Amino acid sequence: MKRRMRIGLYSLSSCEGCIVEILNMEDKLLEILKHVEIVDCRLLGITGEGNIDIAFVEGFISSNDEEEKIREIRKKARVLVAMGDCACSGGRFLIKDFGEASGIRADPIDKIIKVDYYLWGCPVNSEEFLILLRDIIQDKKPREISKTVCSECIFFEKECLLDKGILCLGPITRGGCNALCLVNNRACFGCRGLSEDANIGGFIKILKEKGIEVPDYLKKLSKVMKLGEKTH
Amino acid sequence: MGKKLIELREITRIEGHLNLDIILMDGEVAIRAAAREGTRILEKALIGREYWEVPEIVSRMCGVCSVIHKVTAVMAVEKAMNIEPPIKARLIRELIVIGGHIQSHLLHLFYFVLPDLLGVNSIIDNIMRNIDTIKTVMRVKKWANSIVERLGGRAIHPITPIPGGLSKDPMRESLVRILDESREIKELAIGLVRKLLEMEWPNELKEKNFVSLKESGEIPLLTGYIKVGGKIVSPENYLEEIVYIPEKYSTAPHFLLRSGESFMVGALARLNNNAQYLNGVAKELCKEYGIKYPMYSPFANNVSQALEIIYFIEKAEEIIKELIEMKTSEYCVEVVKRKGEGVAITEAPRGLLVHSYKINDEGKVLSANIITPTAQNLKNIEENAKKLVKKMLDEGSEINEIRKGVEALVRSYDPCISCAARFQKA
Repeated sequence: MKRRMRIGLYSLSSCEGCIVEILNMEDKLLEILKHVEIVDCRLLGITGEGNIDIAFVEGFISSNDEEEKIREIRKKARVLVAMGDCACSGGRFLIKDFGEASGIRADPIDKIIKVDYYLWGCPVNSEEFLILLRDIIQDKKPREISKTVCSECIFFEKECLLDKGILCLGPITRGGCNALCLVNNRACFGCRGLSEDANIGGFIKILKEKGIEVPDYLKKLSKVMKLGEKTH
Repeated sequence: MGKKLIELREITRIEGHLNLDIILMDGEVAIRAAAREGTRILEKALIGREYWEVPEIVSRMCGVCSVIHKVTAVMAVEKAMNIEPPIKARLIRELIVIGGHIQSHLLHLFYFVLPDLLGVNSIIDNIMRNIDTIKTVMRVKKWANSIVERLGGRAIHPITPIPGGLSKDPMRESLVRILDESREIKELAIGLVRKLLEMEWPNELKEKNFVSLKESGEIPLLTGYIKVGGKIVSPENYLEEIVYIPEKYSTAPHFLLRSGESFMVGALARLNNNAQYLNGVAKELCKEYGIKYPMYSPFANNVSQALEIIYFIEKAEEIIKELIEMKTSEYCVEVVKRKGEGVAITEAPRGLLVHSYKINDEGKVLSANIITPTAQNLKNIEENAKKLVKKMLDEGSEINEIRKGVEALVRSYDPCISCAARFQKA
């Protein structure tokens, strides 16, 4: 039998919802454990030593201690995956102006170390986690999502919320969630970050045309546009 | 400054990052329970935001108890804006809160606490030895999460609860399916709870002050008065009963009762204050295992969580039956923006949770205040850890034994540091 891959689940400043999402896979988690070995995970009481094949990291960096911690993780991990909006963007897409409003540090982990793959969402989607894990184990190039939430929403034949005068971030947000919020009659809140071709200027123009109040954070989001480009 | 006897760093098997120092000073033991979560000052980020964004953002305080944070925030915003949600929405919210609580209790009892009782580091390390138990835990947990998923749209950070009610009409078929499955799930859960009740739980420490919601007829989760320090107060007056204690070593706020004493919130407090309403199979289990409330050991909190799992499953069945019979289809009311102040106090899995918001006439947030159960429990954790260390030192215990004993004690409170740590700079 092939050696089981050694994986670590780490958490910086976060709600730990991404790790809980992985634990919530229940019977699928048991299947996964046939192929991987969890060798480091504080939440589960596993504090292992040595190198690891894949590090999954949730949370943003808010202190020098956490900066040191992510450097240590990077050193021992062959592949490092940023999990969730906190790790991918510092929580900017979910919280919108987090960091600026409170004046505290909220750095995405790729500000300090190199990230190999990004799993977006708040929390991450366990299906996407599984696909990425499978691809890494099989040495395949992981798939990238370039479409927007809008392009997934149309399959559910939902009436466009923008047309109804409701602010929805679907047109500029990276898809892959199967428009989960829209399916539940809610507007997209943008937790998966900006899509590859997000045109914030154009989006603001559309909001104005539809008479929708343009929130302050949209202008700020354009400054972190770079983040959306990193994953492809 | 005394000598540090033991430094516990990032205690494992609890939610979030907690350090605990045991210090010897002139022969006296001092304990510092320090939340080391980076500061996540969510309250500040809420200022100026739209009222409907509040539940979206504060839900992110905790991935284990996101459901109760979301629902409590929705309720506080509704109070501030004088919105009366339809009965159907209120019942569905209670159902998903129950789903979240069962999930949280199972995670805590079987993944975090059970290894202490079995004398192992992790349940995953020994998964083959406990595979049947773990598979059963997973099945019950999956069902609990499915309540939140089917009715809330997503198990973590649910989507449908909004100020005014719900964003989506819960489908009758979903309710029927949850109820259908509950019969088998309840039997499995009873088996799991029996395993825990048969265990040997430490019993030497004593709690004094139990603070929880109190309402006649049930063990309340979302409504009622607060029983605190021999008094019954309304949610609006609760904050006058506790005192905020800033501690430089911790990123979480600490609290004491006005009398200067520490207090306990959580499953044990809930059951001690409402024991007469424990009914059904949970009550039968108490009789069978000789469990009598009130109980005083912090470890009785875990026994209480176990009993609550069964109480919650039966409560969920009751609510679903009521919903299926219900004639009204209204699940949301229209929201009219108006200014006001609202406080909602609920029972999170870990105990009393306070959300309070001030909203202006444009529907934007002027101020926010959130007090979590773990923040309220921290002083109590320190006090009881101190008693435990003293006792173990007197008995001549090894440092490693003391370390393990204190860690197990900390876990009995089911602390959630992600929730608690938000106020001060690390």
